[in-house]
Amino acid sequence: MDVTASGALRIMVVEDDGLTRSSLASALRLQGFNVVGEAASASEAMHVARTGNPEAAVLDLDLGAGPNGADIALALRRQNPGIGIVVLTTYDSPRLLSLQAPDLPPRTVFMRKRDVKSIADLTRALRTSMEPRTRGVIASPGMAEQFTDAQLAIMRSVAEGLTNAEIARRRQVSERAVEQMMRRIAQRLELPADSTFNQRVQLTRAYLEMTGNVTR
Amino acid sequence: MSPVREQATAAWERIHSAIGTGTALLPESIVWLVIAGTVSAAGGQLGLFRSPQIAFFGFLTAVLASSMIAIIVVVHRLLSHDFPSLAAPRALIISFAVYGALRLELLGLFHHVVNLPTLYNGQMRVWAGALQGLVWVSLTSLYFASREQFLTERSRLLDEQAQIEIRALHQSALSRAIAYELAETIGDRLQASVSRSRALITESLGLDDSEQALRRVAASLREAIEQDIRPISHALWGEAPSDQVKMTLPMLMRLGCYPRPYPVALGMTIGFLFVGPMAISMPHPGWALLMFLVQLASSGLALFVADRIVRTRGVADPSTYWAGLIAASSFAAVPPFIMPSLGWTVSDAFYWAAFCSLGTASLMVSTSMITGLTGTRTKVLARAMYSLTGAEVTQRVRARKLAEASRLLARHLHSSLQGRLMAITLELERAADQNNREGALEALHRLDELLETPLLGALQPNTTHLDTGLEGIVREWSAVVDVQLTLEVEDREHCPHCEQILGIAEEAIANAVRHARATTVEIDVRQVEDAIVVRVVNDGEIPAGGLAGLGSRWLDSVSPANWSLKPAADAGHVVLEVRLPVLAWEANRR
Repeated sequence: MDVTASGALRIMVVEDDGLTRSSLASALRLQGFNVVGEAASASEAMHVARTGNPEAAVLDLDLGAGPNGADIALALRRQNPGIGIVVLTTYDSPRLLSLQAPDLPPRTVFMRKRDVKSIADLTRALRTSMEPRTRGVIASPGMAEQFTDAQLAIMRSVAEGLTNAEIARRRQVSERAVEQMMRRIAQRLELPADSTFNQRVQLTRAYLEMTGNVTR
Repeated sequence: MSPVREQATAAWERIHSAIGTGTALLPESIVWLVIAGTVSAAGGQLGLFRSPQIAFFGFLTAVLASSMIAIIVVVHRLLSHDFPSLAAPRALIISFAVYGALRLELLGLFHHVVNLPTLYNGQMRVWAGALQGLVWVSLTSLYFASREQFLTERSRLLDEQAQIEIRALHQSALSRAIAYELAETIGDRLQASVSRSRALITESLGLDDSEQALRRVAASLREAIEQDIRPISHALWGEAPSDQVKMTLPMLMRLGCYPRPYPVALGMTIGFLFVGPMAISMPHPGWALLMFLVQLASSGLALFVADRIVRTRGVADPSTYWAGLIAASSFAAVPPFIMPSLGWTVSDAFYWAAFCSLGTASLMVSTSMITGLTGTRTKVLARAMYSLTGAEVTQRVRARKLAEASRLLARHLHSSLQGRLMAITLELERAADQNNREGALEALHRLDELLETPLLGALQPNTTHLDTGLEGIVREWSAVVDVQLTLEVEDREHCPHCEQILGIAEEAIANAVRHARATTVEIDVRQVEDAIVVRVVNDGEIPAGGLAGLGSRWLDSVSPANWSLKPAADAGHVVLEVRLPVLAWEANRR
């Protein structure tokens, strides 16, 4: 299906940043999409979904407090099983936003904002999300995929500045278990076993990179 | 160390331990009761007293005072099961030394400065000294035993506070480090991304000012971050109630009578030095009655003041103070009513007035001590623990705020700014594709707007009220789940732990939706006597092993004893209940 040619394909845009949202909607309109509504939050999004009957949605993952993009994706899919969903985010993985984030529904395209080089990339993503033959979640592999939830949680705790003792207390494990897990993460990241490198800083950098904060 | 010395040391330790254990089993005042009574009775028998009646009265007074002290000590031990040995050998030895020094000094001083012919003559010193010694032994041993507990508790609290401070500082420093790094990264990325379009724009539209604009963006971004982070960090630190955990005087008061025995013992000793003998030498029973009334009124006033303080701090039961008043006043009233006039002079009466004041003051202190040691101690400690937990919650909220500010900072910088960058890039690209000079200028204008946007405006301290905050949370989550809210808190504007409650509600709903797959969530927030209880019921599945360790950020900031997650009485529901202790002054502010 050639989405750009359809001209009247109904799209909704959910993004909490006003400027980004309007720019994105404007760009999509110029590409021939019918942007039926823009929303900054979950309540607005569901209102737009009910009134505008969109065929596809472009969702930001991180919407601040309240339901995130994954929550909205699930709710939209419950309301309209055929709706196409593109999640646009700075994160490598939804798990980096929150380990408690729900799994994205099937036929969702997960895109990093830094990978959107042109509007054509977004158009292709929308087309893929509308394709009935699409299975599962479409996402280019990121660094986060090589880590388990527990390892990501440890990395986030380190990045938040917690000590091993505090991490152990919160996760109800021994400090030794935390140390072992950090060693495994360091091995996976192939961090140099060099005393001139602070391992905690390296782990923090890796975590920030996965969340889109730091580039190597 | 030689074998002989080792054996001697071991033997001494065994003896020391045996003495400690033995004397701990016997209230030391009982020992002193026997000593004082024996000495007084012996003195009377030997004819050292002025009359057999005075000797007998001395004995009775010693019995009465010793019994009171014994009762206090026994009751106190019964109430505080975990109290250590009260009569450690060290305490006995030091109490003797202090008693001796004080007694010699005071008696010598007053004997010369104040010519009181009827005071401390001969044998009266015997029972008065015994009485003082009794009081000193009891109170000094109490002092040492309780001081040890006090120091242990204080050490624990300070250590905990230090850990919290260090963690908060660490987070603050980390947030700055992240911000600076982000400034570098985003500045570079901004430059790199728009540079891709710059060639197109320059070539097709003839614009050549984009590079200059980019430089301004990157420079201003760095400057804004540096300028904005500092005041926010200061604001967060500035509003932190750091005196909640430091060992301030109010905190010491909340800890009960720990620091009190020393001045109390001093006051009681001075009181016993003067009140008894002065009452004995009353010129007329009317004076004795007047003395009793003065003491009663003074004690009542002191107790009223103490009661107000205690009510404000919320640490004691006032009824125990009235019990103390009756006990102390009864004790003070005994000598005047029993003894007839001994024929005073005018100067004697003058000194009586002065000493009566001293005696009354000592009675006030002793009354406070009696109530502190008997009825209120358990409640004081229980209340102190609540207060500490409340303070701990406040501290953790403070640390949580810092972490939240750090998160918001990162989110604002990388999510919002990066998103805007992407949007502007798309606009520039589209303008270039369409040879739209106006569109490109508009996009560059938006870049300039980035400079004018308050970068960290979103990070100002949250002043949300409880009701509006909860309604906002419910409104947002109602989009994906059925949420019902019940709020029964009177002062929603100054509600303690507002941020904590909002954070818990948000997290509880999110967990119910994401983990438990709930379709309905009921939130009930209400204030009970000394706490705010947040109860969240959902119809989802209970997570295996509860939420601990799952990265539950807000629940992690609550003492584990204060929250629970369990199945509800009606099948198919899960109940999360969180109890947030409220300090007395916060509760009174309702």
